[in-house]
Amino acid sequence: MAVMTQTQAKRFLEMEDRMIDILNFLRDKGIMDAQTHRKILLGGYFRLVEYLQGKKILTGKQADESLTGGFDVLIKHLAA
Amino acid sequence: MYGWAGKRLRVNLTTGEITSEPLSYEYRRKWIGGRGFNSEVIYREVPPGLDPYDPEARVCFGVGPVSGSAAPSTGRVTVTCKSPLTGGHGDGNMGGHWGAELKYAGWDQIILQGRSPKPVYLWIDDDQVEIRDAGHLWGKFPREADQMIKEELGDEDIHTVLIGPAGENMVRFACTFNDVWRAAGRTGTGGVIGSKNLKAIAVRGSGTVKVADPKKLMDVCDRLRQAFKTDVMKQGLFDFGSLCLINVANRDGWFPWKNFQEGAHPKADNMSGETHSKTVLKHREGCYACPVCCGRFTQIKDGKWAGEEFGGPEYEHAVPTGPRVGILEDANDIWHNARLTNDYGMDGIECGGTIAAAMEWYEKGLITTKETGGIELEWGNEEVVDKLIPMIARREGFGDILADGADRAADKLGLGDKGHYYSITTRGMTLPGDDPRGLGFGYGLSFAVGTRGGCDHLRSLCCLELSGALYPGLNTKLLGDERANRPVTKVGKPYMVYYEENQKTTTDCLNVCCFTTHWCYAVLTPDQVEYLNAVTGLDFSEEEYQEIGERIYNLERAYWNLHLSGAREDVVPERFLKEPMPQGVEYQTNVGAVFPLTDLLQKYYEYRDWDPKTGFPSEQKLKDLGLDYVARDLAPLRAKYLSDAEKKKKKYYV
Amino acid sequence: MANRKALVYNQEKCTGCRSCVVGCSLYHDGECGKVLSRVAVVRNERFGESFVVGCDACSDAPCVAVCPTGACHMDVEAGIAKIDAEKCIGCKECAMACPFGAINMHYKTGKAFKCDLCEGRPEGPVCADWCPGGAITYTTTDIAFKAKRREKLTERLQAAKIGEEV
Repeated sequence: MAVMTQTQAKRFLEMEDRMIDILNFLRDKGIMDAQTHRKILLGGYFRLVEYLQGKKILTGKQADESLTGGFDVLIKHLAA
Repeated sequence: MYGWAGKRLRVNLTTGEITSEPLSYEYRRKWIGGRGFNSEVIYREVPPGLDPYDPEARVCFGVGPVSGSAAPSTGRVTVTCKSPLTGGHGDGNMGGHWGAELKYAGWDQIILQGRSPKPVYLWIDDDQVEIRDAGHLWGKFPREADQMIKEELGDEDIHTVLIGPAGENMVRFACTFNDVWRAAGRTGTGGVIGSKNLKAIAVRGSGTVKVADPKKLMDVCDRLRQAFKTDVMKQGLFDFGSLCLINVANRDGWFPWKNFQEGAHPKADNMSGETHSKTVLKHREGCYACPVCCGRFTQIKDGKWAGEEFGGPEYEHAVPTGPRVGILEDANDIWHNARLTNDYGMDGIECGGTIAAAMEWYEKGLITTKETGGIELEWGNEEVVDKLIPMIARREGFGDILADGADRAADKLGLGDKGHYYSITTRGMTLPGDDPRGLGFGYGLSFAVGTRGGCDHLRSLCCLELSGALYPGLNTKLLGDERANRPVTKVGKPYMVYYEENQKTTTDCLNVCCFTTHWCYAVLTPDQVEYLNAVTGLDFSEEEYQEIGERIYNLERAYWNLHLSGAREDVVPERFLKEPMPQGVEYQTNVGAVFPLTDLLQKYYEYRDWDPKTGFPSEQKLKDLGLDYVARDLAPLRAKYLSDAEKKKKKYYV
Repeated sequence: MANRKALVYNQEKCTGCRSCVVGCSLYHDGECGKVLSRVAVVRNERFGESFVVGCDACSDAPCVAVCPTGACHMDVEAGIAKIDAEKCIGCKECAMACPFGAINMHYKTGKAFKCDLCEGRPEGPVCADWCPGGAITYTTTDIAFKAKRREKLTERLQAAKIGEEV
């Protein structure tokens, strides 16, 4: 499911460290609350993928690809 | 009670009062144990304004709920105090077997306060605790005192904590040992213990660690120990010790040559783990319940130091009084110097680092033989180093100046900022043998912000950028970017340091060895939570467990803030920011590199939710972590830190 | 006899870590501690030495010979002496008779307890399974002794530098 524009995705793709930026973005979009934000930040990237799959923002296949490919793959799956 | 013993021992050495304090469920759930318990006590009981050597200052020894259990590597102990070297939070962590013994004796923690009128040692025999005369032990090397105590108590199987002569003389970087050779090296805990006129703590424990779910624990331990059998990093550590890093450090340009003037040297292999194992390795050593067994015991076979032997050295113990001071030609000199810092009881890193700073001052003409009392501080001069190490421990002559650490020495000698440039410290604590231009951008960031006083690889031990490449997919899994597994890249480093710092903190609370969870990544957070719950019978979630790590880290940070140390002091020695890495060997991989701290620091503050202007944790963050009292303590200091008066102060240490 | 498995101790490989000790106590008693372990590790910190003390599965076991009640008896099938706790009267004769000090008295029951090769554990004895250095192996004595002899030969070959010429 697309939750960001191509422009936003491009910005994230160019960043060298993006965990908190993406979490902030998703929280500001109402996709996760503050509690979940904290939990995922503490827990690691794979927790983010798990959460997005649970929210049906990622399909099972996209989640698997994101787990192996990292942010570069995840961001493309989140972009329109 | 499962896991914990449920009580701590408080000893007042002024009055001789010995008390047992119960540890409530709430306390244990909030702080877990080990470093958690210790940091909580120091924050409350050693306020700003109290000198670390004051009789009222504390020193704590903490073990955790799984200490002494069958989980991998459960012998570790955290020793915590207000640091005489930095003036802020200080602690050390030591391996060995004493920690398990303390737990078997029925104690989760020891708090020492006061000052004994004469030298004493503590004898803990289960719940029988006695303060005994140590006049005959004072001045002795740990290996001598250990033997004497065992003979006196009539039991060769007891375990001892000891300080050496340097601790007795309150050298600001004196260390604490257990089982003779296992050191809690950094921040000067040994001097605090020495200031209390305490020489040793002997322990005998006849108890056990009760386990809530033995079958579950057995399953987890079986699984983890099987994983260690085929772990690549474990094999390197078992075979060659942490010295297995020497050739890697040399290739990747983080090998400390001459106070970090350079990062590689053609003769590095002289002191590699491979060479060590063929020449001077007497015995491989393992701490309690450890599947890695990276410990070494060294015996020098030939040359002028033939016959000397000692436990160790680690990589970090060998390089400071070796290549960092220009000694590399004859590896036996390096082993001998490591033996000296062990026997005299000083942090090898700080000792070597301070001598290296002095050598660079000498080289640059900032000091001459006039200041050194005739000693010619030439790089690589073993005769000088061999002479200087005992002088520092005994506070004799020029040794007395160096015994306070490089930054205080620079001030005493009137060297100004130029002198401090070569001290290679953050917050008064020197760098371990890891040049940030090589290892690495994550390590370098953690040097700037570490809560032990900066220059400290063990606050994050972000080996995701060191051994991470040996675990394909791990950086992706945890950080979302496999490229972070290279040391000389900014990619993913702020998050890496945040994650690894929290992880290391919880590891220090369980009090297991971080080599199982950083470096070897055979144990990850879910495994730790699993065995923690199997032992204690509780239901920690991963989130709760990880939050505790963040809580303790912020508490330690706040302790610095109480002393008005914050963002301005989050620095890394300028050499690494300004001087491009020169070429030391032709296969060196990081020639030309500098460390880009500023790019990383701001992002890190975002992860931490620390105000970038002050470097103080935000009020909201503190409240979220259940640290309301800390938020109240910091409230009046936020503006003070930003005042012009404070801004003008150059705080190399507090 | 040669084909029965036993615990074989290779002392030069002992690191003194006590993984064997803590695993043994957990497996048998569900608690972790040296006092409950059927294997012990002795360390000398000053000189960097350690060795493991475990049951040597004597074929003519002194512990069996001295037991007044028959509690300590030879399990012929397993090839090791075992202690029947119900018959044990806690006299400590077996513990004192053992030339190696491999028998202890249980702190809760006061009865003798000793190695039973982790009867019932599919992977075999915990100590051998968990030992990181290979100081304890669970193997037939036949294989163990042959390996030991070959180790000596290999050392001598290296010393004579025959390896280098090849």
